[in-house]
Amino acid sequence: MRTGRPRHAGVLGLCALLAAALLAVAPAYGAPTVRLNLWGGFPEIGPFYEKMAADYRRANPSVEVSILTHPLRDFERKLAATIPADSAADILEISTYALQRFIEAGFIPPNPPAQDTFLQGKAFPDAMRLINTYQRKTYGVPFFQGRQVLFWNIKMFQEAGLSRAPQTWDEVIEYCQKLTRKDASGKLTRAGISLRLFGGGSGVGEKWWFWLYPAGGTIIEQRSGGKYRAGYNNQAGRDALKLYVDLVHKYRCDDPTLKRDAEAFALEQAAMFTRESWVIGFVRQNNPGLLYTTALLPRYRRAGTIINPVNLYVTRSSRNAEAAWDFVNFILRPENQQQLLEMTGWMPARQDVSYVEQIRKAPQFRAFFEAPEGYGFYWYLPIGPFDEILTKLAARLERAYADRSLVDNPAGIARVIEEMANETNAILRRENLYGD
Amino acid sequence: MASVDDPARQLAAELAVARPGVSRRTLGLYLFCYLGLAPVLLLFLYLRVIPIVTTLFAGFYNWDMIRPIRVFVGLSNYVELLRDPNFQNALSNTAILAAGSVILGTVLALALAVTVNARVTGAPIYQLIYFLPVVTPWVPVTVVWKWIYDARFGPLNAALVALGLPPQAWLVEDTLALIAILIVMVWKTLGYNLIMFLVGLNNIPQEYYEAAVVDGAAGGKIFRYITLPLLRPMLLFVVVISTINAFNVFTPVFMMTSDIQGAAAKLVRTLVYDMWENGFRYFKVGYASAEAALLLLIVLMLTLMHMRLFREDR
Repeated sequence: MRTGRPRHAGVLGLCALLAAALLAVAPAYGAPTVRLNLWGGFPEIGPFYEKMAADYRRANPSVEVSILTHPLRDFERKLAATIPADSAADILEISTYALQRFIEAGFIPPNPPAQDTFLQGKAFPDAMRLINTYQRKTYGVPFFQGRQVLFWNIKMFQEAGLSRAPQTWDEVIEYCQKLTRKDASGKLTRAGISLRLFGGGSGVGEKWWFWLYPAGGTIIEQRSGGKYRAGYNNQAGRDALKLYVDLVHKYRCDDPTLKRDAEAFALEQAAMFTRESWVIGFVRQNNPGLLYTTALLPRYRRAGTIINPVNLYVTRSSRNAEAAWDFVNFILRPENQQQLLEMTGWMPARQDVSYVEQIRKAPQFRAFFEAPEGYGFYWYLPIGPFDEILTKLAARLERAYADRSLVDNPAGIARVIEEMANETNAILRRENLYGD
Repeated sequence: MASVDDPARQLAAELAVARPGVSRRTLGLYLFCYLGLAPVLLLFLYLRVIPIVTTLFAGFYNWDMIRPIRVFVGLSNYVELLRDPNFQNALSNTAILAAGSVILGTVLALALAVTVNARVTGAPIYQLIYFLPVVTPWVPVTVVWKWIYDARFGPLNAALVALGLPPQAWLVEDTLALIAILIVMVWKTLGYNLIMFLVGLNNIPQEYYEAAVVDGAAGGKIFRYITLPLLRPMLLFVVVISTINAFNVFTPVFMMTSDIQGAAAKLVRTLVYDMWENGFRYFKVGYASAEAALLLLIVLMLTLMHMRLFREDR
């Protein structure tokens, strides 16, 4: 007994020494010394980020990047809770308009000189530089973008004797009636065009914008002195609302009880609809045999589409800002921008990269990269209350779309538009942003 | 040795006369109880009372939660609220849902409780079946109900068609969406109310019923003059709890009618939804707090009204 105790003590001491030595040398053998977190609002991009993190780690073994993606609205709420508490991730992927309030409040630091120069250069469209500039400083680097085009089902068009997508509003009305299908009881079984009539909050307002702009209006127009006012209390606004009301109630091209959006299009319950490029990835996954393509949005008084960059930001709470920016730069490399398009369908932000190969593989991408002479671009103005304006506008639009009495009722339509504009202007006034 | 003139002794003697029943032992017991309760009371103060008071104060400020600046705006949040069409819509929807779910949930649960209590074969199985929705979490429940209500592929419309009735655009038309939410709310709370009423019914002494039968009362009369008056405390409890829950309705409207892109559902705006949207989407925390204060006031008034209505001495 007495002789065993010192021997045990010796063995235990040796073990402790070994454990300490192992702990000391472990980081040098594969354990990362820099851990980064990236949060995003588009779960379909998750696999791309995972691949980027793995590729980056191969070149930088000491850096480990963890990815967390949520559905967009949940993500926005998460940001609201974590950014002010300085507990958000190192890198955030989000649109400018959703982050503007935090930028104005000083929670997001401006870009370092290298990223600022990158954004000011020719790698991105000029609009993105404007969108990402606040008080002459740039914030975030554009990663991908939401541009809208018209998706149309080639088989359904052929069956209706149509060989191309509608190019004007008149053609939209004519084509959609030919494409709509009804059962024996007169109930719609297929929408000629699937419109966003409800759901998704501000999305209803945004989708209306795609028809408002060609009519000559916009949601908020800039006035002198950094002030704004509603840009749709005019003929354009009345025309865009009338088009929706007519398509639903007069020409019966869509029915609220039908499935909507990309799901309806993939299920062949809608002949056409407007959306961003991610739909191409969605259809590839859910109905690979679907015969469809894309076209520019139809023109009325003018033509154009939205340009909505989703950026990568490094937060002020990041303890490894330099490494975080390096990972952002890695994601934005030309070959990775190409991979993004190929893997997810989301349109990359960089315009100095060739996407010919990706377009060859999926010709549906072509319309996203087209910008004929005179085709305009518009965007979310970087002002805090934009989302509130669009969401409240959406609530009123939903009610208007359901109101059959607005058919052939110019006075009713004018009243609805006037009320919506008054609300928009009241919000701007409250935020001291209104100027007439 | 202290003299009889000692003021401290005199005061102690007076106190002993004033409170002859309170001994040092009793005081010690009280102290022990309060000390035992103190941690819970402190937690309640910290987690409940302080947030409520803070919210009431926040209603008088313009605050966006992001910045530390709070601007005192007096009653202007309340004035703006009363003019806000979204708030008006939310208030009206919530009032309809609350009234509907409290009345239907109470009447149906009471009827079921009386039936189940009347020595029905397999009564515990019925109790279990009715109680299952209570213990099922809201989110999966609403997902299933959303499918049931689907205008094109839902089993509810299939059943209507099978009965020769026209299919309905549940969750799409304003009134129908409200009815659809109401049905889910009643379905979810029915089991809880049922169990509460069964507890109340089992606590009514059997002698009262026997005496009533001896006096020649039967059926409806027994229910009206024995069961209902003696169930009054439980009725008050069920109505108050149902009212509070109904005014706080959020999950079913959020899950079934909002925020799901492209889903065939139209938003049924309720007070808590509107509050959440103002606070956490538009960052108008002062405004949302004013809304919360109004909700508190409404529920408080209704609770007091119910307590007066169901008072024991009536």
